[in-house]
Amino acid sequence: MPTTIDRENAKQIRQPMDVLITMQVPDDDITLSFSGYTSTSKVSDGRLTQPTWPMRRLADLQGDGFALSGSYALYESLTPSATNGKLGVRGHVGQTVNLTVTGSQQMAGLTLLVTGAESVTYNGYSHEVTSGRVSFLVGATTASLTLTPASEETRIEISEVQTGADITITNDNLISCTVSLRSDLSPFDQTLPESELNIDAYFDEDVSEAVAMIPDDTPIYYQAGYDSDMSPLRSFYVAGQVTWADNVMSIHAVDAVHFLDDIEVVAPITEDDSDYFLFSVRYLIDRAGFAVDNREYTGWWSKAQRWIIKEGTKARDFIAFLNQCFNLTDESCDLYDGSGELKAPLQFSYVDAGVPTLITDSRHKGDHDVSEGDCTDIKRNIERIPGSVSAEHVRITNPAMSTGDPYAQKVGSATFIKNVGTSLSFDKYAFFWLTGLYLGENIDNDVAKKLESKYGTVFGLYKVMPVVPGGSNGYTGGTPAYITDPQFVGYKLAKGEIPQSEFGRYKPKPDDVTTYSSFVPWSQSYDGWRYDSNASHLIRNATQMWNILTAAGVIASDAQTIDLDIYGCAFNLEADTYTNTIDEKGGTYVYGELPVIGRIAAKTAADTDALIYPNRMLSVGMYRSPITGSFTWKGDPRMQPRDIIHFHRLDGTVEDVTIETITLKHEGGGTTAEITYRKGVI
Amino acid sequence: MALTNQNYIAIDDNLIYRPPGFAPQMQDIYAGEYTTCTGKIVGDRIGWKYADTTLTWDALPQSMVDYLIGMSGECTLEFVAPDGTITSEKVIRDSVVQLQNRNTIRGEVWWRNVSLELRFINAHND
Repeated sequence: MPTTIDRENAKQIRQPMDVLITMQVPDDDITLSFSGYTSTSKVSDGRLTQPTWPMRRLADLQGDGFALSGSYALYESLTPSATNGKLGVRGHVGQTVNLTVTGSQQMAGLTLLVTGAESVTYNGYSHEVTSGRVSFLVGATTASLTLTPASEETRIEISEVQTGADITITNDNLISCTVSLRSDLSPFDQTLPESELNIDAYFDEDVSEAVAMIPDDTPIYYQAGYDSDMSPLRSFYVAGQVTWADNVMSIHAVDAVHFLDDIEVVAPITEDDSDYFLFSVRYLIDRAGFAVDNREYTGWWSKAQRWIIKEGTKARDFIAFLNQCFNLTDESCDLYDGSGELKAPLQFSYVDAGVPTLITDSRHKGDHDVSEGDCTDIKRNIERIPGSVSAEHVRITNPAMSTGDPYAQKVGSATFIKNVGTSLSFDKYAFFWLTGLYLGENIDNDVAKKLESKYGTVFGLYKVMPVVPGGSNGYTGGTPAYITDPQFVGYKLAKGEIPQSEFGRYKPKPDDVTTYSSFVPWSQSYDGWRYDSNASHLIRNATQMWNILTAAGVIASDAQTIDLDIYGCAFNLEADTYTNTIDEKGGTYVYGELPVIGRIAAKTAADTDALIYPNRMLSVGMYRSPITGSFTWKGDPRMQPRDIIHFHRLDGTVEDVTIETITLKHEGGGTTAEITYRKGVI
Repeated sequence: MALTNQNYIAIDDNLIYRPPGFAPQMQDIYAGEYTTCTGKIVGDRIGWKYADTTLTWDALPQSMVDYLIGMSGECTLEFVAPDGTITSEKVIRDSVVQLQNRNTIRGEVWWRNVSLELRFINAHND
């Protein structure tokens, strides 16, 4: 069933589209209360923060009088409500009205919706009421206002008082509006680009007071289309100062992607809890302030698998990476587990034009038909498909996994000096879990920082929770307790060979260590741990892979040193290369450093190596079309990146392409769109 | 003086003889226009306006010529449309008043062959 937009787009000459842009600056955290109006008002109920309640029509001889239809109520005849309407504050004919507004916090500004008033005076300054509205700056928790009537015959009627200001832009005052919605469908190294909204609008009235109240990240909403057939409401956020010159307001706004910039991944190796990864993504998106689809995710993270995400990875890079991984539609790319088991479609859908929300059945929200014959500036670009793609650190090889206890391998050494510091050294790449340490003080961030400075770039950090040994059966210095706020963020995976510890092996002394049984590893059953033959360290008897301990010890006195061996699961990281079977002469694409080291697929103990995720990603570039293009078209505001266009070519063929970017230009009342695409359904 | 007679037009309420053949043409306004790869014109019709026109009189008395010469910036032109309604439009003068022959008839100065180019600046989106 064609909609209005469809019908208009089928015409060679269309009716102009409506554009609706609204910006609201009220601070919802501020509660307003009103006083001081009683003595100066004819009638009032003080209901000034119920914008959806209509102002009740009163039996009032002022103005044109009242109709005899019964639709006009007496002043005090009804209780204010959404149905009955409200009185607001209404003055005597031709007289001023006083109103004191008190905010629960300091108010940056106020907007009054008022009829019959010429101006509002606050703090000695008069602000003109235009079109029933006035906005002005306050900067205080209390504002005493005096409203002056427009003439001796008019009655002031205040219907609404809001904090901040609100601004609406329509075709009537729009000079130009450019909406640039962007995605990145590149085969390699995708980014998460930012979408933009740029507006120039003309106002008859001086609204510079309202402009001054607009802070960064003020939501601004854009819609276009026709009456009853408007595009989805797109949210943007003001970026930079809104400018005002010669009655033209210029607004620059961006989508929500920038909220991801300040968020970092804090836990680099996920638990084998299958929800953890999803939780990580949700956490990142939630923190950026976006809604997340709460659908159940079942049956597909069931395989034991771990993600190794670099500590400090920006959420924006992480999401961009996932975009690329989740884009795989070919089973050979193996988004899935190591046994080839399916493969639920984890997909992002996109809100705010750019930021994904989890999780939907389809990443493509829209299907559109465009005829090449209706377009201009049609361009086509091709890239060369690389003959091979390679990246470092995409394959784990770990002989220890297939022999005996995979955790009982010495991977390095640790030295702890009470009140001095801690040092670690590793022989190999390894997963380990350093916990249960008690050095007579909590291990804090300083220790982590020292480690950071010693080892440079962190290759993987794991948040652990220090445990205070139990007093009843061991250390007597304190009550058994978990430190609920883990300060000690664990340890990098040593990159490359690091020489053996310069410290000697720790030999426990009776006055150093009371008993190891006092250590209760965080969140693990005590039964899962044992001591090695020298009783110098704990070893976890876990059967799950990758969940490694361990070093433990107690130092009783200041400046005493404890050296421990670190046991864990050593592995090697190797580079991997994916070769294009069609054409091996297209050069080599080499990935740079990846934000996510990988996902370790579940493998049996007999396997001598485990593949990790990015090596699957290598083939993405091969599967994605190297053909891109662009064209200018009349434009459809419902389109957004990652929508599919069925492009009807002049030769009669239909080519499916995926929108990478769309730039809608509303200018001079007309609308056009520049669209770039990548061939194929991506 | 209000316009009531279709023999006149009014510029800023000054009555002037309606120029013979005065019939402003309505024209559509397009935006977002482009030519497709197949040569079609595509665009949005955002409204209409009166086309720029030239007012030409065989003769006008000095008093009316003074009104024309006195036009400055935006003016209001009123005229009787073909359907009989009185139409008001914002106009600006797009040329100086062309005066060629001065005559005196019964003591009153008349100018012959007077012309003036007008630009309509209103747009309508109905």
